[in-house]
Amino acid sequence: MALKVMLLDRAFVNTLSLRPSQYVTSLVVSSCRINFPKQYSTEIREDEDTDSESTAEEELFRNISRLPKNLHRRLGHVMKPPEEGINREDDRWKFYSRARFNKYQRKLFAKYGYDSGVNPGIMWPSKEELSGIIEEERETEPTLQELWSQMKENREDREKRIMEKEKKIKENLAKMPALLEVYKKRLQEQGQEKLAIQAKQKQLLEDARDYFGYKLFKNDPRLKELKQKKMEEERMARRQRSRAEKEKLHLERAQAKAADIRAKMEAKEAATKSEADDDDEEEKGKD
Amino acid sequence: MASVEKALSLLKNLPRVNLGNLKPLPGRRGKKPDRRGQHGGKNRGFGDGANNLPRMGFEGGNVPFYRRMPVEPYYKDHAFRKQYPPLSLLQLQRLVDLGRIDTTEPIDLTTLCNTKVITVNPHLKHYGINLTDEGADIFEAKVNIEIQWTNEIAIAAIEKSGGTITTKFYDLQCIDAMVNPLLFFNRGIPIPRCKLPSMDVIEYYSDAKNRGYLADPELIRQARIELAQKMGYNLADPSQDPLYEMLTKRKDPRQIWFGLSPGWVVNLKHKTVLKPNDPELIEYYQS
Repeated sequence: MALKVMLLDRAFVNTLSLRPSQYVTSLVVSSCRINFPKQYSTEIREDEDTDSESTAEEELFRNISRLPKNLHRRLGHVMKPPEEGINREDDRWKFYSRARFNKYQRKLFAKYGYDSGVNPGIMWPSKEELSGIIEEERETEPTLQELWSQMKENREDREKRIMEKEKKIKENLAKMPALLEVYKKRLQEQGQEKLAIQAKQKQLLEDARDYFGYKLFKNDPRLKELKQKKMEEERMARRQRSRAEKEKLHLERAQAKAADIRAKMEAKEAATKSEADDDDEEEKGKD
Repeated sequence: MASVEKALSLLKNLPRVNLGNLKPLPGRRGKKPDRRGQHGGKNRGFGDGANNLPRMGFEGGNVPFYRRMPVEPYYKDHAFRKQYPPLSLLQLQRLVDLGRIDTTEPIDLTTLCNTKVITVNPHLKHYGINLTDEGADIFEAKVNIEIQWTNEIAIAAIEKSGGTITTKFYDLQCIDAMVNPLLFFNRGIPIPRCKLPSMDVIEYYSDAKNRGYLADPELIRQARIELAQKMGYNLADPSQDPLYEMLTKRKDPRQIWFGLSPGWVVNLKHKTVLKPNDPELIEYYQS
C-alpha cells in the first residue's frame, strides 16, 4: 500500500501545537510522513542512473559504514583529506597561532601528500624562523673547537688540583714522623704525671692507715685533714731547713770574717814586733 | 647457772613478738606513693617538677627531628642527569640468535628500539642505550654497533668477535625521532641536525678508548690494538674481512640515519624524500 507522502515544514507543525517529541507519532496516526534524514527514510525514490556501472573507485569509497562524511573520509582505505580544505581565515583556525596551523598543515601533508593541497614548503622553517634559530644556536651552542678547548681547560684544572693535593700530602707525610715523635713523648709525659699522682695518692692512703690504724676511703674528709697536716709539717720542715741553712751561712760568713780579722791582727802584731826588733838592733848598733 | 635461769625467766616475762611490736629492718626503702586518682602520689601543680622539663623531643633550639626537612643530596640535579637504559651483551646476543636483529647491517638506536625489547623514552631524559658487559664471555656475534654508552669489557667483547663499536651522542630531539621513526615521519618535519655533545659528556665522546665518534680514527685504531693486548686476544685484520665495508660504515656526526641527511623530509604517503632547495637551509643543515 503506497503511503501518502507529505513534506512538513515547521509552520505546519506549529499549527498542530504539538511538541517535537509528540509530532512524529501523531503524524503517523494521521497517515502523514515527515522529512526524515535520508538514510532512515522510506521515501520511494527513483534512482537516476541505475543502469550505469559504478566505477571501481566509487565502489571502493562507497560509504557502507553509514558514518558521516567527515568521519568516513578518515577510514584507512579512504584516507581523503578534508574536502573543504584548510583556511587560516576559518573560524576554526582564526584564533590559533601560525605555528599551530603550520603543524597541522605538516601533518596533513605527511598523511595525504599532495592530495592535501598543502604547500610542502611549510615543512621547513621560513627565512625569519631560520635566522632566529641560527641566532639562538650561536648564543647557546658552542662550536666543537670551543667545546674542546673548554674540555682541555677543565682537564688541566682538574689535574692541577690533584697535583697540588698530592704535593701537600707528600709534604705533610714527610713532617709526620717528627710530629708523631712529639705526640708520643707528650703522651708518655702525661702518663708519667698521672702515675706520679696515683703513687702520691697511694702513699697518702698508706700514711693514713699508719696514722689511724685502719684503711680509709679515698674520699674520706679525714684524708684531706691529714694531707693538710702533712703539708703543714712539710712546710715547717722546709722552713727549719732553710733557717738552719741560713744560720750555717751566717756562721760561715761570721767565721770567715773572724778569720780575716784575726789574720789582719796577727799581721799588725807581727809588723809592730818587727819594728820593735829593728829599734832594738838600732839601739844595739848605737850601743 | 644463775644467769641462764635469769635470762630464761626474763624471756618468759617479755611480750611475744607480734605485728604490733615489729619494726622495719634498717636500710629498708619506704613504700612508693600510690599515683592513682586525683592528687595521687605527690601533689603536683603549676611550677612543680614536671613543668620544669622541656617538652618531648626538644633539641635545645634546633628544629627537632620530627619537623626537620629531609635532605637527600644524592638527588641533586636529578632533573638534568642523563639516563641510559641498559642493554646487556647477553640480550644482544639473544636478539641476534632469534633473528630479531640483522647483523648484515649496522645496528643503531632505531634497530634496537624496533626489536621492542628495550624502551627508550626521551621524556625521561633517556639519552640512548648503555651496553653493559653482562654476557661478555659468551658474546660471539660480529656486528657493527653504534651505542650511546658502554664500558671497556663490552668494547673488548665486541672487538674480539670481529665486530666494531662506536659511541655516539644524540640530543633528545634526535632520540625522539630515532625511537619511533614512523611517528616522526607522520609529523611532516625535516630530519633534525644532530647537536654536539654537551660539556659533561664531550670528553667521553672525544676519547678513543670509548670509541667516541669525535675521536681521531687513527687513535681508535691504536686503541683497538692496545685493548686487544690488554685483554689478551687476537685482533682480526678488518681489511681482510668480507664484511669490511659494512663494519666500517659510520654516520656523519650530524646524521641520525644512514642514507638520510638532516633537513630532508620523508613522506610515507608518496614514499618519497623531499629535499630543500634553498641555499640557506642547505647551509644550515649541512653545517
